[in-house]
Amino acid sequence: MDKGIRILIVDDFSTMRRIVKNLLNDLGFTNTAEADDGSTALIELHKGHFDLVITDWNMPGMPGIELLKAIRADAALSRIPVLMVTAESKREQIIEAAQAGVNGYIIKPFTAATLEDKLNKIFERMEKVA
Amino acid sequence: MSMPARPPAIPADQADVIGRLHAAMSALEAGNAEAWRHHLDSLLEWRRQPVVESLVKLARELDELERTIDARMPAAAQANAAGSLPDACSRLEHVVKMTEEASMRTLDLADECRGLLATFGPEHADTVEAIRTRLSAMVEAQSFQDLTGQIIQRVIHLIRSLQAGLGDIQALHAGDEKGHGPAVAGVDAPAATQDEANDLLAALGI
Repeated sequence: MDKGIRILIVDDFSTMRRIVKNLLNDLGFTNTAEADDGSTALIELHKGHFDLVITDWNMPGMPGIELLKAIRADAALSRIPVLMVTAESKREQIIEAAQAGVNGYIIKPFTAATLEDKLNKIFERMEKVA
Repeated sequence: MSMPARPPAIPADQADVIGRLHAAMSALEAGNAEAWRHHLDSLLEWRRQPVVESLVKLARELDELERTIDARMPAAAQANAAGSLPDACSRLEHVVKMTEEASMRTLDLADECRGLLATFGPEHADTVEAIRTRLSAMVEAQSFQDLTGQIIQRVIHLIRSLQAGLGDIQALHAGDEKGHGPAVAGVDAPAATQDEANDLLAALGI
């Protein structure tokens, strides 16, 4: 797995962005950027190349589910894997995210092990497709 | 030969309504747009009257109710006047801010500890690794700030909509797209665990 991949972390809570970044660093991923809601994330995504988006759902501006839909609807971004990391844990929400094309779903609070496991799964699939 | 069913009877002012309908009809047939609109408006006005009366009655009752509440619970009236609702929101926002600062401080210290670990010699490798694992767990534990913050923000949102006079419980149910924040035991429906989410996602081919 290429540890140099560029990852965008999207969460309105700066604490959570920092935690995710910290855990990613522990796993060897240090090439990260941050955004605090879907709209600012889309701006970042259009500014430069990203290999993965890790996003929260519940954000005051554009929520994560809309960001996911916007990414899938944008020809330039549609192939970027999206990992949802959220406290939203209703069955219907997980299904909605799956139907919108999410690549992984982590329920907060989560552990570094869960994050690693989900990242590995996403990369395995990407390699299979490639 | 059977008679066609009679329409429901129009109340007392039947003759008046019939008169207006005829007048409206004649105006329409004569192509007199202005008269047609005038007669039609007078009919609409007649239909609207009971609704307006009901609203006036309702408003009066609400006013009386408010006065009764104020008389029985002067403390509540005073608290309201003193703006205890905005005050409650500010206090809750302050809690979110304080926990954010404390979490950030903890994360800073964890970073510093990691730096310090690098100064240990290889003979302490096992201890260093054990401390590193615990530091990671401490970092994970700071996610409480996000989770409690989301729950508090939801309550702030509810208080604001109550205050804005939209005071229905809709605030808690509206905006599914936005998300609800963490499920609270004993209040919300039980949340899915990561294992359940995994099973669900596997079933959906993810």
